[in-house]
Amino acid sequence: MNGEFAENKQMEPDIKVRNEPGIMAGGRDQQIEAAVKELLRQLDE
Amino acid sequence: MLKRILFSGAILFLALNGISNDSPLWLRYPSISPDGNTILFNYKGDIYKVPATGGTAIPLTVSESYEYSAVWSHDGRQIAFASNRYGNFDVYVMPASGGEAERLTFHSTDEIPQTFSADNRFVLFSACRQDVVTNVQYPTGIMSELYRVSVTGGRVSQVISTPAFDVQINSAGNKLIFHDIKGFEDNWRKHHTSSVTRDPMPISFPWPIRPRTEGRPLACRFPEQVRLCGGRDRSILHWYLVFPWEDGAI
Repeated sequence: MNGEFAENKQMEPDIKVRNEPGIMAGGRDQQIEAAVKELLRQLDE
Repeated sequence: MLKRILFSGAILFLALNGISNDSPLWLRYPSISPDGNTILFNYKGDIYKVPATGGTAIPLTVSESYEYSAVWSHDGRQIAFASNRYGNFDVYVMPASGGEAERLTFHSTDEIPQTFSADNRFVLFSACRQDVVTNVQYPTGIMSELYRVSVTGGRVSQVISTPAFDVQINSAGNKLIFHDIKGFEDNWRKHHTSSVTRDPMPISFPWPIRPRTEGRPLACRFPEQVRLCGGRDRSILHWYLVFPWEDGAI
């Protein structure tokens, strides 16, 4: 946080993905999917 | 002396009361009639109506219980509201001109009306009853679902399994726009800026497609993207396609 208070601040995601209602209700979590995809990509590097 | 103090106190009390009635604060949950002439609002736990041009507000409910979140039917003849007269909030309907309220829902969780269906046959309401089994959204008591119930009462069905508030429906009855809920955002907190703030969310129901399972929003695609400038987090919004009800009404 570089000396700043954490209050009223949030961790900004590196990759922003919106979970969409219809897809969530259908059983998919797009944010998890994006996270797994990115981590696998980093493993490959 | 004591009498005088009491008398002065009574006068002061009346005066203060008079002032507060002339310019009441904390009028909440406003809802304007389809013809634009009348506004419903909640004040101290009852629902009042007042001409949109101003004037004297008339209470539509006078019970000991708490009534709020009034919404109009699209023909302006009925209103739906939430009341906790039997312990927790349930959905009621009554004539817009006043009269006897009819209880529509009986679940032990709070049920808050959002709007009427386009044909005024159903009331759409939010409640945390039960997600569809496949829903992956974080399961908490604030992540409600949207349901519908007939204005004459009867069985409740789920419309979508994700939170939907301030719901508006188009006249064809195949599109909804609403505010989503992403997490523990305080509705009354001002100037909250974070990823948890709610966004307007349009949803469209394409009628030719029949649902695989009745009432279950299975899949969605986004054929077009709509970018709303000035939104709370300037997000990209999508038009969601979800499966409609088998009988063709939301």
